[in-house]
Amino acid sequence: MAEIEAEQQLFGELRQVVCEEENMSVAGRTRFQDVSACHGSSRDGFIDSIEGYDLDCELHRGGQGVIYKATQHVPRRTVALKVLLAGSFASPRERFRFDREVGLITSLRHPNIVTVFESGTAGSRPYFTMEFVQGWHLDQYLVDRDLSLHDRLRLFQKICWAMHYAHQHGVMHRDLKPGNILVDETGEPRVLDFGLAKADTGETNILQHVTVTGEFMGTLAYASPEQVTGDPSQVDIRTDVYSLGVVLYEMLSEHLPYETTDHLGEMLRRISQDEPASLTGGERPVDDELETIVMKALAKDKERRYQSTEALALDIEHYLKCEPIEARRDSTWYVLRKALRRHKLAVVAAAFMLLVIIAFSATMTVMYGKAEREATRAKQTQVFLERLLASASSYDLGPDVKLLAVLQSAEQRIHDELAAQPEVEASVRLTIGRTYASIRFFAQAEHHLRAALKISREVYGKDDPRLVASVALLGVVLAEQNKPASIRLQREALDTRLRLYGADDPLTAESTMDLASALGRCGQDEHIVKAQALFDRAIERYRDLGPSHRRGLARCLHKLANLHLQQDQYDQAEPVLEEALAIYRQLADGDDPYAVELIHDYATFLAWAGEYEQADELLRESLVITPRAFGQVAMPYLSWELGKVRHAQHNYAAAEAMYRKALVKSCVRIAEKLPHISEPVLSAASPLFREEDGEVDASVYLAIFRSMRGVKQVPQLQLAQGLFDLGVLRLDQGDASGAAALLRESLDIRSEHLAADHVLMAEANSALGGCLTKLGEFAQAEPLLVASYQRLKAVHGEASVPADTARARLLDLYKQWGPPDEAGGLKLPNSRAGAGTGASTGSGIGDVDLPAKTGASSS
Amino acid sequence: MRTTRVSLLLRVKDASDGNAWDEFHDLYAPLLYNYARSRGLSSADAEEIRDQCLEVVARKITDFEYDRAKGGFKCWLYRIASYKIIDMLRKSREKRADTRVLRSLRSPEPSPDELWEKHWRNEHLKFCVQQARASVSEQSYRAFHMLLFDGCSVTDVGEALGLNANQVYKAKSRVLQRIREVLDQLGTSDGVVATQLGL
Repeated sequence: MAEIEAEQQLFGELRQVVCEEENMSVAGRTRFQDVSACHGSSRDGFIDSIEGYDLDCELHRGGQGVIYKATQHVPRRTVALKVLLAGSFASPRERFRFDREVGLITSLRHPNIVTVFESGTAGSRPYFTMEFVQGWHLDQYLVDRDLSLHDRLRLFQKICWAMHYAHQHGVMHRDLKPGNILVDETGEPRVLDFGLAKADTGETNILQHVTVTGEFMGTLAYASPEQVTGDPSQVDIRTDVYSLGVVLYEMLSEHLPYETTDHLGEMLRRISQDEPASLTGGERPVDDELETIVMKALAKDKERRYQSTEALALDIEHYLKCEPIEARRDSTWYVLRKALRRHKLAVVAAAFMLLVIIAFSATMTVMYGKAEREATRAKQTQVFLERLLASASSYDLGPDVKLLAVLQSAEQRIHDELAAQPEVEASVRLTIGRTYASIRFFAQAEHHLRAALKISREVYGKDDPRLVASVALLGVVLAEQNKPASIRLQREALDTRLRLYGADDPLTAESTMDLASALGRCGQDEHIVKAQALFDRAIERYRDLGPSHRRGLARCLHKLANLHLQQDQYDQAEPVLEEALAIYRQLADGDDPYAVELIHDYATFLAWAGEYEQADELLRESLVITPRAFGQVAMPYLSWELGKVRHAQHNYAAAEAMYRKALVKSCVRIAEKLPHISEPVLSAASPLFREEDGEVDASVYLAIFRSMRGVKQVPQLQLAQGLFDLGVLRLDQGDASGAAALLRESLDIRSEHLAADHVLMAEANSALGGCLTKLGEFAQAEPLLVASYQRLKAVHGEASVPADTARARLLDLYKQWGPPDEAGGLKLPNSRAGAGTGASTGSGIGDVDLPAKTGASSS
Repeated sequence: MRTTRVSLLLRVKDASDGNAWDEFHDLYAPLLYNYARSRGLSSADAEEIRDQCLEVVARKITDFEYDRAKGGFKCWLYRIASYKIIDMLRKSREKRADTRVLRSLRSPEPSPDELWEKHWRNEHLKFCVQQARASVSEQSYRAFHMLLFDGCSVTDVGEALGLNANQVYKAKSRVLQRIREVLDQLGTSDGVVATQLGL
């Protein structure tokens, strides 16, 4: 009997070894949820059994309890089961807290978070179960594999997004460290041990936690200053940002930010006071930009950290795209604001000044960062910006002009100072090109980007991210100008990124989208099909990338919608626009320039489709958010658009008010930008300034438009469009003579630029015919109305709004004047002949439903 | 009881016995590596530790005198391994804030000698399973393998190999018996190491 027992015992022991071995890779690496494998051969009576589970083996024994590998009976699955120490909860309140946290955490479903299934108690001991994940601890994983910087940052980003998801669901981690992040076989990081671990110490005081469990320096090194100073009320999601900062620091350098010491007090002092050691000089140096990101995450003061893990993830995205990083904007903006105050410049256009800052903070880095590493960057930044602003202040011509002046003056400086530093020049030009592109000055952007690309091709290897960034951005800028060369560049960018990062990387998705966009804008018909396919692929990728890349998805949808609109596929465009808008709404970032553009495009589409109420709403929103993203440039245009929508809704007074607003803004802008013509324009517009709400005569408008006529900087056809819109409004308001004057001016301008049968001529002629009918000038009205109706019908189709409007005007004419047959026979032989329809229908106007003869004869 | 192991050591002392050294290496190289890993060293460092220890053993084995009072070979090897690991940790600590040091400090793991105990036992068990295999029938070993490694039930094994339950039990028992014999010959069951070392 003893023999059998001994045998059983030996077999049990062997099983234990096998169980452990299963959790180790071939090379003996730790492959399970914790560093240590099974301990001892027995379970020490810590826990014998838990109902509903078979305990397979012990995986880890720590200060908080024991983790088992277990098999759950229903549903049948392998789980990791963590049993907390007995007496974990001193009070029912703590017990309640534990249960509530488990409730929150079990609701988390994210591919990068280890799912917690359920909780319960075994005897007096609380336990919970979670997904059994085979993987390596983050630090172990990185030691074993030599990941590229790009891959390390992507891995880290996924952790940030997972944490962002958790934060949005009200769950903080409070104990992020490599030991709580597993990387599974597919290379996906999985965060575990949310909040729960801390529930057992009651409060979030890390010191208490540390001393209770004896987990000393390891945990402490990832703790934030607010955690080590022991004020639990100060702990919020930015505490997780800090811990992630430490994780990132370690991922980049394989060191911790502070020299560690066995002396607790000293360690606490370092965490709460010492600046982290620089990353730029270590064994694995990282560049200045990346260091700035890490240091911002590690700021002692929570307010100066990234305010969310999302912001941290987004800034890494900026870095990976070689874009200026947000972290830099923070400190530079601070410096700039001070400088602005000193120079007594009004901060008129924050958005535009920010662009300058972004541009020059990046410039700064390259200009001074390398030459004078010892000098503090902040000081150098300040010096540069002060010089820059001193030069800009003499051009106080309004926000947009100021920006351009600053950009131009900077170019001169670069030219003088950077001639012998090609890498620096390339980087500076890339930044300036990006800034120009962001305010849609594509020609200037192209100039700088071409120069940047030329240098980059000479100085960088063909796989250098900075080279790819120039290629991609120049491609975008060329596509915006409908230049076919963009296709070749986007192809190059896509090929490179596919090769370097693989098909699943967000940068590859972006290049796929940009290539699709370039093909759609500049390509021939066969390219359109390709563009569609590429858009589909990019959209699919973005969907796969999950919630963290919704912004990219929205942009991609927007671009696809534009392609549909360009192809007149309105039905297909609408749902796409709608989805894109819904995404931006979720993101709730009204200042995103892409969201601003989308809202405008959608409004235009809705106005076209006759959905005026919705269009009105979106345009009003546009008026609020556009200046934040683009400054004042587009404001007159947007106001005008809104006026048109109001007009279409038959709200004439509101329409006129918007038109007036737009005119006033335009006049001011023109006066600022073109001082030599400011006097006639401003004097013509003075009635509008004088009487803000009072009625004005149409002649006032006419005078304003005439003052701008012939000025080469003012697009004349736009002027004509303005006259036309106002003329039609006046006509609808019953001011036929004022309307006629405006429309005649419009026709006059259009006839200088357009062929006689141009559809815009027809529209204006039809409106003018309407005025003449109202004025009783039937004979003059008829040829205009007939010809324009036929033209509009031919171009837009019979059922279209313009053709319909023209037909109504013609009917109105005959209603007042009598039908063509009776009222003096055919009054329009010329137009009839011109239209070539013959006399067979009697009226030359085809299917126009003429008023009854009786009605005509009675008139 | 210790004859086999003593003789293995004696044979290893004899530089001309190449087989002995191979056998020795098969048993102790993974032990040293895994032990170093469990102390928180990276795989590269653990390999380094393993090689350093084996080098010391190879150099010093001729001087090694078996003395039970000093804890024997197990303690000797443990001292070597501990010294090398502490040395490495100290060096990396000097290199400033090395996180590997922290990793070893991170959690209240079993003490180093407990770990050593565990690895010593585990590696010997694994070694013995391999040794036992050579001296039992193929059929018996297969049955045992399925029971042990695949976690199959006796019924499953019987069905798979065309045996009745009793035969499966017998096979299992045979292999286990053989394992115990090998184990006894290696003399790993002395549990006095930790107390004697005083480390």
